[in-house]
Amino acid sequence: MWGIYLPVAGADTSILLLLGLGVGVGFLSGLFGVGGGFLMTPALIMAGIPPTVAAASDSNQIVAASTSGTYAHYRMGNVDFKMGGFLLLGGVLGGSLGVQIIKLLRMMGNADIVIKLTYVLMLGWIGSYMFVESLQSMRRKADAETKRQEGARPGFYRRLVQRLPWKMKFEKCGVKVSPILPTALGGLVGVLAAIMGVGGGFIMVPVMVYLLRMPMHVVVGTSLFQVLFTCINITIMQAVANQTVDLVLALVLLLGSSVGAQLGARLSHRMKADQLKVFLASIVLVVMLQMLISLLLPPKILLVPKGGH
Amino acid sequence: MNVGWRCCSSIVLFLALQWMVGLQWGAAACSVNLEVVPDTVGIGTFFQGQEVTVSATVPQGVEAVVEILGGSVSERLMRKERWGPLWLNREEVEVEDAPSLYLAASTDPALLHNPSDFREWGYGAMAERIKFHGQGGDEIRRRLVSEFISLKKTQGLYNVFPGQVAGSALEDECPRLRTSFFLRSNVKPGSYEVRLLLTQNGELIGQTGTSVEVRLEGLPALLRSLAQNHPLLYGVLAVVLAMLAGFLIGHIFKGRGAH
Repeated sequence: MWGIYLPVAGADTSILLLLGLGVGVGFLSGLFGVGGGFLMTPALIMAGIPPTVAAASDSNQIVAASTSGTYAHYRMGNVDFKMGGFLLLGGVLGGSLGVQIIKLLRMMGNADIVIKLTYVLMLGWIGSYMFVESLQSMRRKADAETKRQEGARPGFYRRLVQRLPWKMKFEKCGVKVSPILPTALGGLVGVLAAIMGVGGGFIMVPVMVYLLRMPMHVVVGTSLFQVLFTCINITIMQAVANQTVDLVLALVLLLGSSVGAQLGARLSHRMKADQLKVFLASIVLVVMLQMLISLLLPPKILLVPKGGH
Repeated sequence: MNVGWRCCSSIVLFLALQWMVGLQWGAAACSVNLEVVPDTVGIGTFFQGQEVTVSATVPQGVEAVVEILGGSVSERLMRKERWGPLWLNREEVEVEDAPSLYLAASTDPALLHNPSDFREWGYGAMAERIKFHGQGGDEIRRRLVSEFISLKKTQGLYNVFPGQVAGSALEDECPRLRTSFFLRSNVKPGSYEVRLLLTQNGELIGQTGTSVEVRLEGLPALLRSLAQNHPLLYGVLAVVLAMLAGFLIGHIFKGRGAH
């Protein structure tokens, strides 16, 4: 009952399950202010959607959420189009490269193992970082944390940034850096986003905050702008190169996630930020552990479809 | 002498089979009438699989196996191997002549219980039919066949149902047999062969067949066609629809989206 046929995935799934996933992940996304793709794609894989279809269709549904968000932030003047443009340039190049990498890996039969490994590493890193950071914050060690971050910043990175040519001023962000830096960082995020099938927001935000040193209110709007166009590019590339975008899947998901994100954003104002972050970090780490276990445990069947998981 | 005896015995056997099968099949009183309902399965927007019922009258005193077979497909699979602590896809296996779907049911459970007993039907026939490329040795091949069938079973595309063909008593003059198969939603569009195999003492004595068509229709047909034949247009359409939905929902809530 309530099943819907997914023409590209080539099987049916429950509309209620997809809407539930959409609302649930969108709710968490709106609640915590981070992207939902890194949760949505593994959730879809767990629900039985082929990984390559899950990743590509998730990129498509992120287009909807980021369109809504970018539009809202644009009206509030929180989008640095100049910085976003360079990040976008890198994101498009990186995203295109990522799609070709996936295509190559599919031919080799290792696409989904790379998707899973990338997930494990990225979720492990982000989850651990958030968990530790929010716990420290809850213990009122914010000052010590700031000093630790300053001290931990690698010296070579600062020297490298200073040596980059063609420095320019980004007015809205209030920073002066070479455009090579946001382009390169955007490219790195674009590759990861294409491989993982996410918008890259949850990677882009720490990159902007800690590596580009942008103010938080501009980070959110500019990240959304960059994520929107990166996902547009990834969706079209995946549709052309791999034919793995399932429009029906994406549309049902985006209905749920867009509504869920709005509800989550409203609730987030009533809850303590650090507790929310610890909760989110726990979810992220659980997803990471589930994926890691699936790679470590002996499979029941040793044959898998090429490009399968 | 030996050749003559063989020739005579073949003729006698042939005539006997003709009598056993042909006499009753040809007779107006008990003709084999294999039917599949429905004979066309449409995959529409809310398709969740479809049950098809196969029924037939058979000669007195025979056992039957009913099969549904998809067309032969070539598949490239990967074999997982341990690589350090991780299980990775390491070795490519090319499979040929494997039916895209194989479902079978029998009157006598013994006809489908042990795959190695029969080579004309069941998993025994699959083992004879499926070819693996790039693999050597009977032992490896046997393991691959077993793994392949297990994989297809988990996908719901292969299954056998021993003793699940029901009907009037086989002692009747013209027993009417009936069985049902559930085609899951991941069944591929195409023509599927429905076979009725008649056996006696474990030997195949006759067979007949018909077909069932599975086809995409409505929105899934349109979208699949667009995705495959016009991928750029499909990609642009997917993006435009998502952006319109994003704007619409943003306007409805007039709030901030997540990133």
